Amino acid sequence: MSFVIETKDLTKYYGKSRGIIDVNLEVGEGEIFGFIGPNGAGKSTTIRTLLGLIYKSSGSAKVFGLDCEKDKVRILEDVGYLPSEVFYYEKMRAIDLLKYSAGFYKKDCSAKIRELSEALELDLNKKIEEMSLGNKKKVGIVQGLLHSPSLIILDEPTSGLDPLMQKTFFSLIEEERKRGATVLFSSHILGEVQRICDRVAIIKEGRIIKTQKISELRENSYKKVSVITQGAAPAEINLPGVSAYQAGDNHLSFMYKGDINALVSAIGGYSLSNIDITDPSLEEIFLHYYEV
Amino acid sequence: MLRRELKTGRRAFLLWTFGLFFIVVAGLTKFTGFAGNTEVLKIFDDFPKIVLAVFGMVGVDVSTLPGFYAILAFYSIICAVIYGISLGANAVNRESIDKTYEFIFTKPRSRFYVINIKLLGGIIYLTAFCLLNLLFSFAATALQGIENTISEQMVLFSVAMWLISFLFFMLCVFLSALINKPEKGAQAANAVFLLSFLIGMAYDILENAAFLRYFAPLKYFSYGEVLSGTLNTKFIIICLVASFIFYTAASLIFSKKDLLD
Repeated sequence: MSFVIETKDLTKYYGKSRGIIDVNLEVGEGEIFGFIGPNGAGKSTTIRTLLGLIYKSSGSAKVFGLDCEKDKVRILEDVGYLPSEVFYYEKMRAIDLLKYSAGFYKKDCSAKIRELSEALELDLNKKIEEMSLGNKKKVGIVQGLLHSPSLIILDEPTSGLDPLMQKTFFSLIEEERKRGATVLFSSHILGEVQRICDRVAIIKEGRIIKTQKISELRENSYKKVSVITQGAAPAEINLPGVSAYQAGDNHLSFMYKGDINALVSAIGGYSLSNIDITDPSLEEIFLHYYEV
Repeated sequence: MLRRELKTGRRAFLLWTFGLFFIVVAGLTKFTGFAGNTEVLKIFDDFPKIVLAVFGMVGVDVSTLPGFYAILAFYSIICAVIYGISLGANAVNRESIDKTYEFIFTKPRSRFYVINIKLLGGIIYLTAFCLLNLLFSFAATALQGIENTISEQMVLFSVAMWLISFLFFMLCVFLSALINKPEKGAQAANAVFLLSFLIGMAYDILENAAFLRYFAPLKYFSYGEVLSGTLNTKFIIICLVASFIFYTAASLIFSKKDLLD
């Protein structure tokens, strides 16, 4: 099987500093592939190596079966990229920047620019320097998608977008997938990766520690439970799947993996003032699940 | 892409052009006060040689148009060199400093292509700057009603200006590619220029120091040679060959370096 993205033992050191070590990725055609890890784990380093912005120390990296260093120009003809931090030419209007971007591709992108900017409610006549971070991000999304690329690489794409715009953004990505595009979606937010991706690779301290289907991740997913009781909090809860249990005078918190109905039944036995059941942060997941 | 590069550099070009206009036109306005004034010569003769060397006035008769213009040309060339250094630094590092490199270098163009377009933009501005120097020179003498007996020398000074500033432009391109910190390229090139300026002073002051001339591009095309109607071929070749070497080395380094903030 040929992969859209394929890395083998991809390693990058910045001098003596660790970038990524022996990263192996295989992203299939039409897949939305999540790439998740805490800040500094090596996500952006991997992406920048794929894009030819930085050079590998060892291993191999291929996109569309082509070498990321030797065939960079051919690869980039069909890749759209949204960086984690968007910086564009401040004095340009959004429309001019997008036309400039479109000029690098051998196709008419004007209809797509219009369609995307309408969906994202982006004012194309505004100068970049006058835009909020969220609007700059929208410009970034449009410039990454305007040439209908076969591979879309998104590095922390939702930062700066409000929840409504995030929803629109996810719809756009779904549309791109229906068109046949492959998506590499890098994030440190587990929830958004679970929301949209088919598979996910988890990277920590430069190494891939697990690659799995989102359905498997969900089965293993932890919940973070915080409870405020009306009386004294129990010293322990007798429920399989509870870990990292902490109790104070009238509050308790723990991580839980298992049947959610059993959890509700167990907590329901107490008189409660408040309860929060949330997705744990990635750091908490690493702490309680992947830290082995 | 070239159009955008030219648009980006337009404001800086206008500012530098204004400075050049001030040096050449305002400078030549002052010539009428110096013309044939032997008293001024006596004053300059009393100056220590090192002071004259700082102002590029060693062995120049400022009471004549050729001598006076040679001093102005010295300042114009310094101006062009500093402008060239800033153009070279911008060509290589502007995108990294502005953090827009993730935009431009993820487009389907090779780094070689992108950097060459940027260099072309810089060369166009530098060439235009030198042509304007010539234009201002002709215009200033005409406006002042000065009989221009040195038209050919003015052309040669502008050619010398281009060769020297182009050399420093390429030197800065090379240093900017070589040094990993984007802001440091222009600093290093300016430091080299300052050093070469000091070496040039030493060349003017010291006797039997002809070898120093090789390390002082400002002295490659001496007043005497230019005013006699020639540019030293050896130094033309040195300028062009050194520029080519800097360009080739910069291209090789830049195509292999990691692009980071």
